[in-house]
Amino acid sequence: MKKWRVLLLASFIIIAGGCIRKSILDDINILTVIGYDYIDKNSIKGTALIPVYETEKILNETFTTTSIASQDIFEELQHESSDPIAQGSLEMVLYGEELAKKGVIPIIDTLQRDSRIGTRLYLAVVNGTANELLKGKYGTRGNGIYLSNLIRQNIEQRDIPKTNLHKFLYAYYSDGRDPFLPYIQKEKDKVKIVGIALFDGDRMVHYIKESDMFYFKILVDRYTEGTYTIQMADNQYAAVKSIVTDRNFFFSGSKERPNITVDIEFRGILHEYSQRKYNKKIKQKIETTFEKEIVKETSKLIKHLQSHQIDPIGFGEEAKSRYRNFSYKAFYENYPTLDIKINAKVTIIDSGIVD
Amino acid sequence: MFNWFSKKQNKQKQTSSFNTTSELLHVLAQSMDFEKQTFTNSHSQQRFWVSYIVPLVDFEIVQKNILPYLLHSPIETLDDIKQMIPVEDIIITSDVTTAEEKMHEGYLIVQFHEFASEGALIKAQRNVIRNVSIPEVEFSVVGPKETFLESLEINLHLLRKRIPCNKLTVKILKIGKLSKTKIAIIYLKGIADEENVNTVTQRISEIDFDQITDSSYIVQLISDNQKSPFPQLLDTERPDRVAAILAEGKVAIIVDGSPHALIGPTTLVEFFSSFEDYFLNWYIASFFRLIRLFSVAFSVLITPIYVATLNYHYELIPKDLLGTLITSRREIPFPPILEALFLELTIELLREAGARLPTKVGQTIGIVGGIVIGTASVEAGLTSNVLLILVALAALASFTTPVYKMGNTIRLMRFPFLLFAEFWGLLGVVFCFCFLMGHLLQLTSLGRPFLEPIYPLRVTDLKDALIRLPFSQQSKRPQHLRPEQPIRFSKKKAKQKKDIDE
Amino acid sequence: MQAISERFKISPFLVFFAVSSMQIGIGVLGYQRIIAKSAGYDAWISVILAGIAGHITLWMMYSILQKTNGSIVETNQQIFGKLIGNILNLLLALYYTALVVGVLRTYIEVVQVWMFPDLKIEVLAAAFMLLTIYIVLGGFRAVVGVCFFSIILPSYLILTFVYTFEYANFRMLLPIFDHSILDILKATKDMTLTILGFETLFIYYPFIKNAGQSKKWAHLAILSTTLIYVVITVITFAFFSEKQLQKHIWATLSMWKIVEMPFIERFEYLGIATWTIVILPNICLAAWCASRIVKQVVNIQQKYALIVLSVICTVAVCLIKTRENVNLLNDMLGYVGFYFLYGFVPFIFILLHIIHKVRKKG
Repeated sequence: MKKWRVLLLASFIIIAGGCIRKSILDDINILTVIGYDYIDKNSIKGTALIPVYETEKILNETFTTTSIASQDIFEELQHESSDPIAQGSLEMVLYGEELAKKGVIPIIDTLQRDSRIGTRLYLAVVNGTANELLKGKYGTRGNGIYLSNLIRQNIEQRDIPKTNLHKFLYAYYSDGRDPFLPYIQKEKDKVKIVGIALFDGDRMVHYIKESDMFYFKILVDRYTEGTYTIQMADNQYAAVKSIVTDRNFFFSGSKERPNITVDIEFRGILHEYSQRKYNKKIKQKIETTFEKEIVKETSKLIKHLQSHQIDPIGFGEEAKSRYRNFSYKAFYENYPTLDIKINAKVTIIDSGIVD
Repeated sequence: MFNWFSKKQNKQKQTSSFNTTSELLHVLAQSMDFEKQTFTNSHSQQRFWVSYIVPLVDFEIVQKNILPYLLHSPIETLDDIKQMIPVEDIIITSDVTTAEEKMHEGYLIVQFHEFASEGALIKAQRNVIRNVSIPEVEFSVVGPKETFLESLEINLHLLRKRIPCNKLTVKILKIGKLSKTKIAIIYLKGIADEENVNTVTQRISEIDFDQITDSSYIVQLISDNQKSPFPQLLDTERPDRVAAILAEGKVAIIVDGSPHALIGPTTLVEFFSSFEDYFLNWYIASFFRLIRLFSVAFSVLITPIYVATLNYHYELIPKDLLGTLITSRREIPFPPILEALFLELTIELLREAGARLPTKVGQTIGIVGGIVIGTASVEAGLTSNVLLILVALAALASFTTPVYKMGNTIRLMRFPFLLFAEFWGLLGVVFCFCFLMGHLLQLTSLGRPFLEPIYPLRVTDLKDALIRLPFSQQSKRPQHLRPEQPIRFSKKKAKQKKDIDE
Repeated sequence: MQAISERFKISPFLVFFAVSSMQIGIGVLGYQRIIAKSAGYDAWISVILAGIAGHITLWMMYSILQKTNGSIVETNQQIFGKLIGNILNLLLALYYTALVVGVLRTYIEVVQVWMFPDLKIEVLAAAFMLLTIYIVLGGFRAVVGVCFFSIILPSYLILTFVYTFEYANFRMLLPIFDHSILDILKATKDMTLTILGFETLFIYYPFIKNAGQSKKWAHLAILSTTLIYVVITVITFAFFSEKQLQKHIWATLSMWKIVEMPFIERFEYLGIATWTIVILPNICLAAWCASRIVKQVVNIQQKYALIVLSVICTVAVCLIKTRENVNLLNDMLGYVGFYFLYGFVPFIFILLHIIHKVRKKG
């Protein structure tokens, strides 16, 4: 039968000429975190973090090198490493603040061009230098897992809006939206999220403080979990845990200068109330106080964003989907002076297992 | 497959190389287990010569039913023998071919002259058979516990007992220049497709082979694609299974001297259905069938995927697993392919050693091999413990295949997959799968597609393929057999629905 | 022309798999960018239009084939006479061969870029062609079997798009009809390469049992592929922002990068590997068609035609070295395919009708 000769021939061809360079799991250095810092106009410093797996724990090994471009840094790092460095399992990329202010796209370009790098990759801006942050030692499972879990759990359950490489690039390439990234800082043997870095294009221009992150998240994202404490009066606090938040945009007026209304809906449960008595009246009171608080804080935040000419919330995109023949240019010329109104509606659906 | 029809008609008529009976007896006498005795009839004083091959003859029959009558009844001619001796099969012939054939089956030849060409052949066959025993290869917890034996008559008896119906038709052919093995083709007339029966009959009668020892010879000789590693006829040792498939409209082949019957035409999915599936509730049976299907896929693919991933696709590994894999691999000096081949071959060794040794020793070997070699090789740093678990699981999974021959094929299939995985990673695994798919698509069993009912898709036949639907749904015989009588029972009655409290 | 034995024919419903598996191939990995270039995020309308155009062409094809009661080879011979008809037929064989080359080379390109940058083109091409020879030697039924499995087995891939919903912003598709009709029609033209494939029906039509019954299945096939394309288009547009999409050559693959399962962190590697099964029927069926035409025209055994064609394909694939050339080939294929589907088929359709009318009168 000819068919068998075909099979034989096929295997022969593969064996004879089909060898591909392997990257056997234990013979490579798997890069998990890489940090970039600005040195001067022509060079950046790259710090790579490679976990060393021991039977009981994971140790951190860092390599530092300076080079002109990001891809070069991978190459330069190879000079220091005993095993080839593989960037396919990269989980996080950090940018020093100074670099972020100069623009990150030249570096991010490698990440989006390289097919081996995933798009669930987390990006973050470091207050200080990435090098310094990566030299520390956090947690028992290695810095890589610590850092990526830190961001992940804060996205899933706290107040960082959903962010990763894909989200960043989506916003960067979108005409009607500006990117943002988590802003972190080293604190002794921990890393803390201190805010959200805001970008104009690929340049960091400003950041949102920790206390405003909640309001920022309800504006850009669907907030699912997290507790927020409001002050009702002196010594009167109520902690509300959010279940669902949602926001809707309404546009009216001309497409160059629309009037924008944002409806924020918040549903949550009462988590803690400092006073002894809790009843329907107090429930309403908490709700209205919280509503006012949301309107006040988010309006302030939006004003702030408008004054910096940045749009991480994506008003431009929302406007585009509502008007025909929309022009981003005209919209953003008027953006700083646009009238943006916030309506908030807070519903407390229950108060735990006691009244 | 159609080279069957182009094959030369090389069936020559079986003729003896001897010219006369005495010449035949002379040649037979060269063997020392041949006996030739002279007696004299007490009535007619007629002398006669009785010759036979000693090991083939049952002396009890000779002493009780033959000799007394030969000696003391009035016998003058050979025709008298036929009337006097109470044995059911007596042939009077001068044909050397018949004489030769019958003597080898345990007949005596009685001649009135030492060199006469004519003689009476009297049946005195000795049958040595064991008792009907419990199925060992296709064991089932519930259900009948009898197996076929090495005797065609008994096997047919077991079948006839289960199908007391005059539709059951048996065709017997004799194949093998030396062994002259009796081969029975069994089917239900009016239910089985005549075309299938004809294909089987034709292929078997075209066999040109000297010795047929077992039914597995027949499988290899009449398969559509003899170069395929896949068995294309199902073999079974269970009379109940054969009875069931005959009722479906298939054809069974039983070979004298073999305790395994063959079933055809068969399909790939049939190899993964155990007959016990029909004894269990259909939910449970379907669940087990899916488990088996999954275990086959697992068994074939898991080591190749391990090799592919570790060689090329470290990106795929979840980061929580990365640490486990790296630490277990760190000490190993070999690349993943050698590690995998080493372990796979160890398992094959254990299996082969266990199969060749007596049952009790075999079990010990299994335990010693499994535990000692496994643990030791991990501790010595020859293999990683993750792979050890995977290979052991894969071996276990391959044993869930109910048909032994298919289990072997599955274990063999792993090696090309491993090779492709080593060279092209996941792409190689899929590529190899494409070859397998192409091969299975071209395979036929007795001219019927092997992948049926999946391809060509026959939705009605899916009722008893990957899952087994309840008997009330099985009112029709499988379409791919083209049965002459497709309806098994009235579907209406089975599907009658009653209202509440009726 | 000897009649085709019943044993080698396929059931009418299998035409569904033959048509749809041939359509889904290499185009679906990255057509989004191309159609969005001219019609922006209104391009999903173009996908629907392309589907409708496909339906009309298919209807014409059935009408042509039913009139001739044979394959396009006989139609061409009947209409244009032996010489010109056969030249046309050989051009058709060339077209199918080019289809093999285009699909195979593009897939190799994908594998090189996404998985193995140092994989040798020659090796993968030769291996693929050997696989093709092996399958096509099994006959048309085996080829359709491959088509069948190439729809059934990779169908799980559709489910993976659920993972992208988390990042999808369907608002971006609004407002509908923000682009001119002309732009949308241009995108429809750009869709040709992606919906191409059902024209193989021209050759295997005589291999269908009760060919008339297969018509509904063929239409159903085009309908379902169009539906799949629309879904993928809409998801892609919601997933990428417009300028970001323009950067991604293989948008479908880029979307898989976001898929993460507990046991597999990066899905695109599995997806690309599985895509082998998807493109296999493209290659096999086209190779079968090409060799079948050669057999009918030149009167040599199909297996020799097949082997010669495979060698030609392998060499041709190896000669295309750069991405520019791959793109050029695909553009050419789309171009030729466009005129084949919307020029040649209607032309033959009208011509055949006129001829039949004239004959009836005469």
